[in-house]
Amino acid sequence: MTSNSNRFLRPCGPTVYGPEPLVQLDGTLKQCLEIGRTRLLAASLVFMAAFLVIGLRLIDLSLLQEIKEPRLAAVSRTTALESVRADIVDRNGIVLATTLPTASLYANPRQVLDSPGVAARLATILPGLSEAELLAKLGSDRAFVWLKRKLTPRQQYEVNRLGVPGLYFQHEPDRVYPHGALTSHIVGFANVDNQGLAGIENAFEAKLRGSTEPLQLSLDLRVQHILADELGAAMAEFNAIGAAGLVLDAETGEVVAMASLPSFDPSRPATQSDTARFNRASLGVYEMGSVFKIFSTAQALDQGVVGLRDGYDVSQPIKVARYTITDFKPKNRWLSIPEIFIYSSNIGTVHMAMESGTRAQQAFLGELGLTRAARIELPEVGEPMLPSPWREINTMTISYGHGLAVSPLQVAGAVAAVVNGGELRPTTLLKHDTRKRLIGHRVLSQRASRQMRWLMRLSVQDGTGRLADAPGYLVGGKTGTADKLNGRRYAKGARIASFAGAFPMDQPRYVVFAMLDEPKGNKSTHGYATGGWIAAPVVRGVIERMAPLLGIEPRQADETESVERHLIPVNHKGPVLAAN
Amino acid sequence: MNKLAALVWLAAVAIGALGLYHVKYEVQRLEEELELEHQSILKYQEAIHILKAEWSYLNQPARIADLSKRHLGLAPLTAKQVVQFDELPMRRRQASGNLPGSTLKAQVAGAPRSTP
Repeated sequence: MTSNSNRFLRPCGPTVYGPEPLVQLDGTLKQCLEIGRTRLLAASLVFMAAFLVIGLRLIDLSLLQEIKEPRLAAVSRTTALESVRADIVDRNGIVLATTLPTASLYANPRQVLDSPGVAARLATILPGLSEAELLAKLGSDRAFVWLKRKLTPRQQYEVNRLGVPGLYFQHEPDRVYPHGALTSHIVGFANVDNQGLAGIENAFEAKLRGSTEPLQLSLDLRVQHILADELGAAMAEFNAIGAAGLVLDAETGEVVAMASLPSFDPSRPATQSDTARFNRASLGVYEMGSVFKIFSTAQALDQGVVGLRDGYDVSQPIKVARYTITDFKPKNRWLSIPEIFIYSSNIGTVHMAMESGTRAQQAFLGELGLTRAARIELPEVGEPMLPSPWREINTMTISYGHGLAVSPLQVAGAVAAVVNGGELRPTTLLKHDTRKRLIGHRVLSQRASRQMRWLMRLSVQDGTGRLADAPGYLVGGKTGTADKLNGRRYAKGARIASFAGAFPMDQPRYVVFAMLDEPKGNKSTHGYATGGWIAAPVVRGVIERMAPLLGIEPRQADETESVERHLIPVNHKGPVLAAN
Repeated sequence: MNKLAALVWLAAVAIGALGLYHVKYEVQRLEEELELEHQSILKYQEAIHILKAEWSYLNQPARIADLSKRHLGLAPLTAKQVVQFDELPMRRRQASGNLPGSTLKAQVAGAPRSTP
């Protein structure tokens, strides 16, 4: 009975038969119980796993991810600086080109209520626009009309203060050049849509666009100013039509300054004349005159055709075909190689060049990079003008710088190679990364380079380049004067006066080049318009002003040990120097 | 006993809910504040950018040269103004044979009188 009643009370529970077996299950009941248990277990396992995942995620979110900064506001960055273009800075980080937000004014004429009144008031704020013009724009029944692009902040404020409905501002980025005409040939300019059209702006278009990392140039703004200032002064004094100059780091090939005058305002390039926009330093090619004697002499010394003790009789002019090659100031006697160089004797230089020959000259000038366009990061690069075919007569004239037109940049690069120990490095407008090794290409033996340094120093000490001598800085260099080609003939009185120099000559740091286009001599130069009278003083001025800025120590005891001395017969001072 | 536990739990849940509510709104407020701060950072960044351009403009070498000429009376350094240490003249010896610097008076007497 009990068992029966028990059974009724607990249908699935254990059936108890007496005291011994507490639990006894038969087939179906046991199965039923087992299924229930496993289901319960499975379900609880699933829930446990779910809660575990949620718990872990909570810990992860609240404790582990907290290190991260919360969302930056960059997301909400829809302001004017949206379309970025990287700044261009000089080697000291001074901004040369930057992008600033400006406001442009447009109107919805349908919303403008009192258009004659608004036009009258706007005309007083916006000086470039007449009242009639504005009224025509505001009176149209379009929904959008530009009134003026790129307002000044003051104009924007004034327009805002009018409080006229229907006038709106569109924020636009505008390219600004704080140093204007001083760097315009190098930095170049961008158009109204901020696309680079010239100079670095054009050459590095892809790199500048969309980047915020400023592009650092090798330019030093202070030196650039000094160079442009000195060239400008000389240009005014001698009534020249143009001028160009370069300061190059002799070791690295970096362009520290590059000026071309007349210059232009990069914020309004369209209104400028083509002559002003023309970069004479890299795009213009000129016959350089006697500056080329640096290369002719270097070639002869390097190839061992002549030694410093040799010389030539320069009393006889050289007659080739219908040309006669003479000297500017004939000495009419035997001259040693140093004398030929410092007195700039054409005849002597031609003799030197002819001994090594046309082929050798072509190869050597090619090595120096004078027969192909200069390597520089500017789109405005001039192709040199080579004689074709390159005859013997060309070899003769090229040896003293006529018949081969090259850009000032090429000359400066080649002079750097001659004085820095004989390694040509590509000229560059980007600041040299000091961690990187310099790659150079040997074009001249160290010995020939040393000899050339000494010759160039001598030319400034005692030769045609005397006016370039900045005391204490051991300036060396070579003057050049070339008649300009006018069609197929050389024009008398239209000259290129140039000077290529370097300093200090015992360990050249900088190459300085100056060139004036069509200068006219005046009283202070005794009527001469030659490189020695016109361009050499420019170089002297540049060096005297830039050397203290760049930390080059002047030396009082000028010559004693610094420049290597040779036992060379230099007759102009008698035996004194010769025995030194 | 069971009732007490339930009450405690209920109170805990209520406090938890209240706390959560509080924290949620606090976070929201802070995020708004953060957003404002970021906006002002952007504004200042833009202002700095513009000021940098203006600074560069004001530092035009020609302008600085002109200002210095008008107000300072400075001129470019010439090579003559730089003297190397080796070129400095030796200090004059005292006639009495005192070691230099033995007395303050001797030191003063030994010092060069005129500046170069």
